[in-house]
Amino acid sequence: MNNERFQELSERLRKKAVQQGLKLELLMATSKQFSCSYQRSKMDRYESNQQQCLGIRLLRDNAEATAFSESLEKGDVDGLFAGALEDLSVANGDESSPLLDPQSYEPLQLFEASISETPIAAKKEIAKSLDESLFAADSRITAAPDIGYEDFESEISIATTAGVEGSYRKNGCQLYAAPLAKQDSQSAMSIGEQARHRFGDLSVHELVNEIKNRVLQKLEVGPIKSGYYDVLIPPRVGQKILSLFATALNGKSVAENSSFLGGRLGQPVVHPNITLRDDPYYPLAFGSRPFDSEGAASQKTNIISQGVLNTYITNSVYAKKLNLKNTANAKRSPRSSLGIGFSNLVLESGSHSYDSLLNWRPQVLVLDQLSGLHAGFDSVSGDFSLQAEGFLYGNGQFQHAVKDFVISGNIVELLQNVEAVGNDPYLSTHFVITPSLAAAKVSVAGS
Amino acid sequence: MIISSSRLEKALEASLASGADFAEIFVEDTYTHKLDWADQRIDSSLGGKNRGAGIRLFFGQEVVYVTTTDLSEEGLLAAAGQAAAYREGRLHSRSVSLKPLSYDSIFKVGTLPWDMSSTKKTEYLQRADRACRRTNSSISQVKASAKETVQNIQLANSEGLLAENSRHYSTLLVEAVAEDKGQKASGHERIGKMRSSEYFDEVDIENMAENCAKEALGNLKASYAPAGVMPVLLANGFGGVIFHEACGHGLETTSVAKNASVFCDRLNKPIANACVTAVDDGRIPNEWGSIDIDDEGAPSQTTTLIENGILRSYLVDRMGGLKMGLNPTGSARRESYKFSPTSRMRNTYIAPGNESLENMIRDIDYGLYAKKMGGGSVQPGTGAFNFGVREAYVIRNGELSERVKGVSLIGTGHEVLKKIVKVGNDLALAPGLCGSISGQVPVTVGQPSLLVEALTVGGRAQ
Repeated sequence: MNNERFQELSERLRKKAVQQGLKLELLMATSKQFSCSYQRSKMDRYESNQQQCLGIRLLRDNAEATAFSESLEKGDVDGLFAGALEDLSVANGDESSPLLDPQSYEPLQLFEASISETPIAAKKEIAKSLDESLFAADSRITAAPDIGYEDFESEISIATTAGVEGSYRKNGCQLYAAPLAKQDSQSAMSIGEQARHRFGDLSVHELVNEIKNRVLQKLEVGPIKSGYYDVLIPPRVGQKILSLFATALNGKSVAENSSFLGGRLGQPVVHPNITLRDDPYYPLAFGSRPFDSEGAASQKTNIISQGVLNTYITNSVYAKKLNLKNTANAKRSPRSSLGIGFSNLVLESGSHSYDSLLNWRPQVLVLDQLSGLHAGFDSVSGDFSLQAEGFLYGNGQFQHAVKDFVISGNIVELLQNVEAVGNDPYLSTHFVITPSLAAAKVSVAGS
Repeated sequence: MIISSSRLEKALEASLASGADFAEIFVEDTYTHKLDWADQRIDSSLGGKNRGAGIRLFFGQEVVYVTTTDLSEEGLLAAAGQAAAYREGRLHSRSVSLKPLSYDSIFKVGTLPWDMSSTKKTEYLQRADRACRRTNSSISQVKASAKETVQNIQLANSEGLLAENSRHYSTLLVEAVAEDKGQKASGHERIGKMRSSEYFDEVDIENMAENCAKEALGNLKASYAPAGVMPVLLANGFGGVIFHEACGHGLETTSVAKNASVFCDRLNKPIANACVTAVDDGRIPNEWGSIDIDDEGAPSQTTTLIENGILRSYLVDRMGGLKMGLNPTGSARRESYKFSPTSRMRNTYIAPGNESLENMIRDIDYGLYAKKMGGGSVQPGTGAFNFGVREAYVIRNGELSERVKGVSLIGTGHEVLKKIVKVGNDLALAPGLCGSISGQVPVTVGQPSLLVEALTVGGRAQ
């Protein structure tokens, strides 16, 4: 899909909308993905995907309807316009959804040519190397159901009847592996990934070392009793914890009275150790972008400062509804209606090294993995109950791994009990960027 | 017919030029429409079309998969060429002649989504909202959505198969939020069938909405569940998520063929207590997880997975069958053309036994009755699974006691199957969405009430 095609479509549809007294926003996404995976030195999967999707938002007075099509044939594009028009008849917003005025955007370097210029043979080679290195690392590693290399690129284009126009490209690549290790009757899995902007920055050796150590350590299992534990949350796990908390910062959830942080602006909500911002300009982060899904120019937003809630994140609709500033967090894909989402949610680093946090209390439970987030979290109350695996440390020394336990509580209370913040922020394709967190008194249900 | 058989034949022949053993093209044209309700009005609407093709090649046990949204002859040939380029070298010439597959469909198609007005669909959501709110004034928010999908597929392969299928899904979700003195709690209900939109007229929407509101109100007053290992009585219907997570994924050749399942090398061996018989059935008419043919064109089947505790079958797709020397079970599924198919579940349930729910409660001194479940997940390699419980009650001295909330149940699949000690007589099925490497697919889980003699209950420590 080239920009000319999008220009042609947007001119035709914008004209059609204006003729019918409507406002229109077009959002186009084209993407490509390549992935390959080896299993025991044999190619297992080799996939190449190309996609395109055109989405429109049609507006009339306070009514709004959204439609999309992957087919750009005239009949299908006209059909999506007609479908949205039909839905306008039942849409009845209580706030207007203004289209923004034209904006200027800061140029961002988000696309790295080296990935697409790297020959396929080299990509196959690194995937094969990852597979062979992982199994060579230790004979107790017996399988790796998820393992491989993938790269991704996308182009986003926007145009509206109010004159907003913009586009940007971004890409990245990553290695990932989920080894399964067995020893006697014990088995353990761990998950690792390494996302980079340049193909040449990927390191099989670094990834294999990291996940090998974790998965083998998980074989040394011991019991854990139910009780309250002081918990160290490494960045990979902190991403999941914060993604749960982040649901309540969404202005739409607040306006719909389904956020556990509703009505708390200006109040301390979490520990003063915690400062959170949305940062679309964070260097090397995969959520960075020059504008949001309404075409609003990106901006940094201080959401929580030393534990105090400053704002929710908004788009133009919910900024007006909540009487807040538009934080330029409109988020949608062509296949979705207008919502709100983060670019990069950044928890500001503290001063503690990971090793020093292992010594933070006489006994520390390090969380290695959390599962069941989609089922074990109530986004309305903030209560959670999540399956976990981890490691028990005593006086900074590894004691044994623990599995088959559940951590439970309320996500706000957990973040109120964060007594120390690490200096080790972690970048991946996840939208949350966080260092390690040390949280006191987390409820554990053991065996 | 989405594209002509001659175009499919040309694309298959171009794919085979590389010397692939097998080639397949999956073409899809899918329409979806969804209305979302919140704040007592239509909050958003979304309608649209997904359209594209996936070309899959086998070179021995190596799989190549290429997708395109360009269904023109040039577009398909370009995608075929890209797939064939995986294996450079001598050009092979093989011709393909497609023969249409005929079969008896287990579905009845009714009103198409675009034939039902948005006004009528809005009424369903309005009824849900009114029914929730009149249950109690503490209901502060009601969200609901009505979604319809018509997925038309066309499938052709180098063995000459040409198959077409049309799948219609209709689903309704309701969520209620109850609020009292600053505390909030939610309730959820969902229904879904492989049926067209007239299905919504047959649903007791008011009853569904009232149950949703009652769940939210009950959770407002519920205390937190205890923590520890104890007997757990799982309700029928969506309680079947335990089998889906504990066992189902571990029986997919997706994992077994990679030696990444706890059920590897266990065929015809005991893996569960003798009271357990489990089935994965793709042939239940109009059920949410049913299919006429799978996404490789194989006829769907009724597959007995476990019989009186003995493992009788895995869920096998074409590549899984090649790797393991097993016949496919009509279980190959994918969310869309964007994914290569793998073996997945359909309608999976534990067969009913003879116990009554009342007797099973009466026999428990201290334990948990998990009445309403959320979803779950599993690591097939270790068997570690979890699922969330939305509504539960402590059982004390053979009677239901205080209501509790906020709990996950965890265990390992190969252990929990042996701890199912009683099986009820009240089988029910419930719809859900299952996510795995071939995307999200509609599945049904089901079971009668089941007693597990020991599960870890992840409540709050005392």
